[in-house]
Amino acid sequence: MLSFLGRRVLWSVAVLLLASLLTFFVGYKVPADPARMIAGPNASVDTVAGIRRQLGLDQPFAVQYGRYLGQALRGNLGRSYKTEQQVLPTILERFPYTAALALSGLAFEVLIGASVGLLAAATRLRAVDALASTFVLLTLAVPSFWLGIILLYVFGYLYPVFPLGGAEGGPISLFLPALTLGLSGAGYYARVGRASLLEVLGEDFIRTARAKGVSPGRVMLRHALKNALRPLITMTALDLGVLLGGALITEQVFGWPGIGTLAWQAVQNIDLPMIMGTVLFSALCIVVANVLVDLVYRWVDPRITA
Amino acid sequence: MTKILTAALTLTLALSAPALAAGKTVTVAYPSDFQSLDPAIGYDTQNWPVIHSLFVTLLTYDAGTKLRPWGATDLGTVSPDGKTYTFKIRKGITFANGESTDAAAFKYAFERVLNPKTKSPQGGKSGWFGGLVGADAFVDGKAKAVSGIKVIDPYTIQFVLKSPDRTFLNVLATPFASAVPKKAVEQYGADFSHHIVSNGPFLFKSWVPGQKLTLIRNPKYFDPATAAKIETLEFQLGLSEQVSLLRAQTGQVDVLGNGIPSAQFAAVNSDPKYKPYITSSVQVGTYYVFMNTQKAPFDNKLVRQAVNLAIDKKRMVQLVNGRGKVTGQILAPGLPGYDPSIPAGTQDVARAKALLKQAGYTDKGDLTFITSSDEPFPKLAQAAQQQLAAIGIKVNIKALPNAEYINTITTPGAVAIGLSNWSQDYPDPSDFLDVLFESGYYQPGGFNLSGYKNPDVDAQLAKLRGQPMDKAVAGYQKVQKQILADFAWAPLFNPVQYDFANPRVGGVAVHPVWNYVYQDWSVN
Repeated sequence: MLSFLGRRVLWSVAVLLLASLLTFFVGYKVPADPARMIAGPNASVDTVAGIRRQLGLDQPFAVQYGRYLGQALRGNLGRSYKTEQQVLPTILERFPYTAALALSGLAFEVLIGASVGLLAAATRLRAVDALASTFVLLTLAVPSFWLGIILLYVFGYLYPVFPLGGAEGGPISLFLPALTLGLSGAGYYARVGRASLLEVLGEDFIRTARAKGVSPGRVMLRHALKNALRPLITMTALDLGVLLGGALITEQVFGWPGIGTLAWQAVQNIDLPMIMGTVLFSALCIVVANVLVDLVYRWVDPRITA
Repeated sequence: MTKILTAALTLTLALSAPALAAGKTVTVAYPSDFQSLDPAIGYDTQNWPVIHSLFVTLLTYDAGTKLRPWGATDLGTVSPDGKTYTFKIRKGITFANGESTDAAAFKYAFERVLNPKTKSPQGGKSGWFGGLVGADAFVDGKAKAVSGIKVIDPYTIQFVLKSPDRTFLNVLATPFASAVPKKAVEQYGADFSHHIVSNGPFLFKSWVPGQKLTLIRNPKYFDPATAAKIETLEFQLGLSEQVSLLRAQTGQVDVLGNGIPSAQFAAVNSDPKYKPYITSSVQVGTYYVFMNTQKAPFDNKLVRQAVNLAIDKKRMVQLVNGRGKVTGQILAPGLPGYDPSIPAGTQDVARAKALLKQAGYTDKGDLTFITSSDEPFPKLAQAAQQQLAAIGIKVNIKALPNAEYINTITTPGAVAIGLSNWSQDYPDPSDFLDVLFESGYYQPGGFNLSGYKNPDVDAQLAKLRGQPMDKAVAGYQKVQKQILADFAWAPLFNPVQYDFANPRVGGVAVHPVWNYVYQDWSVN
């Protein structure tokens, strides 16, 4: 088990290193000058060059990346080019907002999506199945930014039940962004839930249980659902990793002060330290979620070795 | 871990906070966070008005563009050679931490801006303070102080310039010239922007990055005439423009910092309900099509003139929902030297075609029209493309992200034709004509986008810079006409700003320099 964990951690470190190298390289190659972004359009050439020197942007790629990596290993992700805020504390300050949105959004995703999918498979009624398919199509087709704006307009402006964006309105502020996030991903859960349950229902052990006279309800709850939920649990764990890194579009639409908004603003300002910080943090969340899923798999099925 | 716990606590508190306090609180919404409230760093239309409400400069402007004393007792004395400026500083201006606003505080602030380590947008030798005697040696690290900034006594400061420059008085009114409290700046270092200790009409209360900035009235402010009239000024940050508008329409936001969003402009502007909310003002800026006078085919004056005649300026203004005033000149209304007698010019396709024929122009279809991808640039570029095609000039549009766009257009020789705009830093024609047409600004990063080189214009601009404004105005008008006659630009329009402010807030008149003067705002 320990060597399995060791291999997974080593793999994670390699992924993080690669992510940092790629992001830094893209930031380095972007044909825009962060010094000009800081100085503004009216600053003189010498001033821009002076800022470039102060930030070390006149150094070759290897020197810049090496310096960044050295500092990052000591827990220092630098300061934002734009606001001069320290990157790591800023990300950590935003994390609770993103975590709250990720967990509640995921709860909606799973509750709505899985319920629809499992219901469609369990009832085997054409009408229910057609409704579920429509739901899947709609949630997959409607972009989250549009859904978010519509929800805000209807429930924040026309019928002001919920606050109009932001986070200052109390816990209720979380409802609409979480619902948007949940509905946007619910289609996937519905599809996987439906397919998984249909597959399980066709298995031999279900037929055996029925042949042994077990009641249909018991077959469904004790045998089928338990097995059908497995892929959904894996999906949830991996999704959580992704969402903890910041739900960029939803956060942006609702003005939710999480890591997604931070990343969005950083990209707009070509704020390389902040871009690096948010990308690395997101990568870390995904990697940790993957390792946890692998460990749970290994625990459930010790035959898994690689 | 402590950071996470603190942040979690902040979230809990934020989530349980009551709704907006009413009364003497005014709320302003901006989609982006503030870059910096440090007067040495912050440098855009969102930062400047706030810094102007926090920090005192020696001079400032009246309701228009006339300079008046603020931290200084009067407009100062100028030596006969125009190089030495001496100011007496008002006593009793203190920072919130008790530090005094004296000559030493101003000297410290100026040297801090010049110091390359500060990374100020106006730092270094070619920044606004680079004209001071001794600035070069200080920037190069060869001197510990700027010899051209002299503390005569605790409340008298003297500036010595290398050459006469009228605009130095305007520079003294910019936020970069604000006194700063040395002890606080050195205590907080790079974090000073988030721990502002101010001496102006407002004091810094709190800043939750990306969410909210709160300023409160300075009870110890020295000048009752310019003191803040509201108790609390709150900025809601990070909300999209659409959401901010919805909040403003429901009374949760008083003022939209960026005005009405483009997509909703027509609907909101035509709704009688919001008539009392909307005010408009022509901004001191100009949108223009530039042509590189050193690159074919625009090295031919006739081709440039044809482009001027091809453009339908009224159509351009329509494309920005009417938020513009057509213009035929470089200087914007409100600037000394603006000449109302210059016509905006009208489209004349037939004459433009004739001029192209006279120039012997043959279209190769290889011209690239550079534009920013930020609104409203792309749609204006598309209109220009169609209008140029109508006279037989085919251009391909290349829309670039803003930072890349600035780098590209300010690379000499890289662009033949493109779209740009310019707005003032301070109300002086030199901030337009020098920066945009002096040959020295045709260098990497410079904004002489037309590659305009005219030794006579250069000489006149240099001479006018040393003259008092009342004597220089006629000269600037003459130079402007000379540049216009060379058709290096096709001026399009001066943007018109439409503000959306709840009528309960008084004094939200747009200032030509500061945009907003928050200390003038009141609650009706």
